[in-house]
Amino acid sequence: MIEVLKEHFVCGWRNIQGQESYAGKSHDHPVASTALQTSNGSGGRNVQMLFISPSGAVLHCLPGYWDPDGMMHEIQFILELAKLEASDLPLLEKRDQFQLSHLNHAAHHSEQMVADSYLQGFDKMREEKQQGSDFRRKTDGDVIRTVDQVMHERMARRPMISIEEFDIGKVVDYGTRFYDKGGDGCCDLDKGNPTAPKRKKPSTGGYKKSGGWKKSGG
Amino acid sequence: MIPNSFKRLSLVMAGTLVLSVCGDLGAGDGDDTRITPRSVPKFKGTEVAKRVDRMLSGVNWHGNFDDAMATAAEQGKPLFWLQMVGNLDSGL
Repeated sequence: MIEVLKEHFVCGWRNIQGQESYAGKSHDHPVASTALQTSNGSGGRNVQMLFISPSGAVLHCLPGYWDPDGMMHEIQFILELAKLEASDLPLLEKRDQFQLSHLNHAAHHSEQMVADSYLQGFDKMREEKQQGSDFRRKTDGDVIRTVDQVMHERMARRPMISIEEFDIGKVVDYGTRFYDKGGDGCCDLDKGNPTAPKRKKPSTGGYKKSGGWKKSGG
Repeated sequence: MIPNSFKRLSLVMAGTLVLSVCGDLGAGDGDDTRITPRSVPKFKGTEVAKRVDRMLSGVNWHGNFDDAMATAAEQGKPLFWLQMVGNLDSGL
């Protein structure tokens, strides 16, 4: 993974705690904390992995945890999207292909990847309270759809949007604001409410009406 | 009276039949098998710290979005931009 990132991407990071209204909450964890198993997309408000073309178009957003296999599968797809974005095709054609590529990629995810991307109980409970949640299955309304599928659909609705206009707060809007896998055990269960985080909660102000995600240095 | 050897054979056959039926029920015809999430091993804190260190030293990480974007444009490579609640190098 490190070699792929090093060879094919320019990399950067920033801390969004207390900086962005969509940032999630968690207990404190030093670097040397035990890493527990979880599902793809868990903690989507706490971590966002954005893939942006050299010209500034958002190619993909992977929120939360992703296992190595799932992430490598998505990175290969992102590199194909980068080629599309750099091609000489007209912008409208690129956007059409971008949409189709995202939807086709989701449709061809392995059953294993879909199984690995389930919503955990407390996130599912939150989506069940959302009438129009895109995690609902269209046939019976059951909240059973998975993050790997929903994220591709959300990206397909944002075809090569520039980073300045990319409404990341809405893209990662699913599940609970508080995520702490195994912090005290409660959040790992399919029952009960998550406990409050230890720290003071960051100030929130809702989505920025003017232009979605605000660029700022880390 | 049934000979013991016949009883043993019957038991073996019955056992084989049960196993094959159970096997069929468990595996289905390949289409109905329920795929369960993969089991990823739990890593101890020392291993996590080692991996984080490898990740930090193995990649040149930018800390400023505009600088990273400018480098991406210059090198013609996409940008991998990680946002997180906390710090990559000191946790949260």
